[in-house]
Formats: sequence, structure tokens, C-alpha cells
Amino acid sequence: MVSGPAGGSEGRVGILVFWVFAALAVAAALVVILHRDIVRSALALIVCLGSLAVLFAQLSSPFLAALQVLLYAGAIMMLFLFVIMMLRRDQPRAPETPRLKRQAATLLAVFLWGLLTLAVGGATVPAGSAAEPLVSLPYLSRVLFFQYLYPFELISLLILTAIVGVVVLTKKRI
Amino acid sequence: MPPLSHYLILAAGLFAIGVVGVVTRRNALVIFMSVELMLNAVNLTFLAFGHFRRHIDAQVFGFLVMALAAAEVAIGLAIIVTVFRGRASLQVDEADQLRG
Repeated sequence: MVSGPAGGSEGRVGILVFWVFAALAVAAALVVILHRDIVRSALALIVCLGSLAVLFAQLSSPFLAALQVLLYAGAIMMLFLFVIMMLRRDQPRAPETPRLKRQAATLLAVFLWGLLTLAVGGATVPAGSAAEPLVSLPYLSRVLFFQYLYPFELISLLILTAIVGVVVLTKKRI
Repeated sequence: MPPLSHYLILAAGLFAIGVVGVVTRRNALVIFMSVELMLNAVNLTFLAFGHFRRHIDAQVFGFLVMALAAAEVAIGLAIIVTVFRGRASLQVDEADQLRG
């Protein structure tokens, strides 16, 4: 979705899409941290990540939106659910965090949100000019594989390290 | 299309919710999910700036953050599984053997 000039019916639809999915994301995030059942938390996180994917698409990054659904909502959350199913036995009900501590944390978080909003809420950026439309996948891949080739290759090294680390951690005898 | 500030405030809100999750919950998996939430909030900030600045680099950063998150989840879940094996509890408070 390339942003047209503000206003007009397209602009209004964009604003509606933003509000709907922003509300969905915030509600799902609250369910993630408040619900006592961990499976519900995981499912709510999938909803939250999915609505963020819509916002990513709106921000002219269709590739990352697709990755968000495939990688996050698909692979990572599947891994989470897998571990939950594997580990969840009849656990004794753990005592909740004391009420006072929770209230203090909530207060602190609201303060943090206010601070961040104050810091960046009024931010404006000068509109730069991209050589090509941001939605263009060939453009992104050229930047990724020429300008950012080394970081990209380093990521593969990191993932290799992670794989080896996971095997070492979870295997009882190597 | 809403202005840049809307996206930034939304991302800040999601980040703050993630912070509350990390601080108040005791279940290791929920804490981990809150961290994922915070990572995604940061990604949203990156992409919002990139879109309004008309700069493709933000998408590259977002891509790298996602790859990092994937590696982090793999390692983190392996640690959780290993810890769980030893003490059969997912409560982070009970894993305090290294405490001095």
C-alpha cells in the first residue's frame, strides 16, 4: 500500500485500518500479559503479531509483513506452543506477584509510555527521496545483497551458532 | 494514512506492555513472549521511520531484527527446556541457584 497524499477516501481507509489493527494489537498484547492460561497468551500473541503484520504492510513493507506471518506467527509461535505442550504438566499454582509490586510495575510502565510518547510523539522527519518505491522487492534485495551483504552473511553465522548452541544445551550427552 | 506520531505512540505502548509483562509475570515462557512483543514494537518504530523518511534501510534493519529474534527464541527455549528438566518448574523465581 503506497501512501497517497493524505485525505481522500484512500487516506480515510488507511486511518481506519490503522485504528482497527492498532486496537487489536494492543488488546491482544494485554491478553498476553494478563491471561493466566499460557496457551491463551501464546494465541493472543499470534493475533498481536498478525495485526502488526498488517501495519507493516501499510508502512510499505510487504516483504516484512509476509515474513512476520511466516516466521513469527508461523515458525516462532509454533515453537513456543510446542514447548508449552511439552512442558505443561500439572504444575502447582504459583503464587502471583504481589499486588503492590504489580501496581508499581503498571505505574512505571505508564510512566515509561508517557515518557516515550513525549520523546518521540511529536517527531517529524524530513521526507527523503528513495531511488525507487519502497514496496519494490527488487530494490530491497539489491540493497540487502549489495550494500548490506556482510551483515546478512553475519546473520547466517549467528544462526549457525544458535543451532550449535541449542544442540549443546539440550542434548544430555554429546 | 495516519501520521508518523500515531505509529510511534502505538509502538511505545506495545513496548510498555511488554515491560509490564517482563516485570510482573513469573512464568518464564510468558516473560519470553513479552520480550518478543517488545522486539516487534521496535520493528514497528523502524518501519514507521523508514516509511515516512522514504528510506529502504529500515526494512533491512527490520529483517535483521527478525532473524535475530528467531535465533534468540531458539536459544531461549532451549535454556527454558534445560532448566525445566532439572527442577520441573517454569517459575523464574525458583531458578535461583546462581544467586549469591
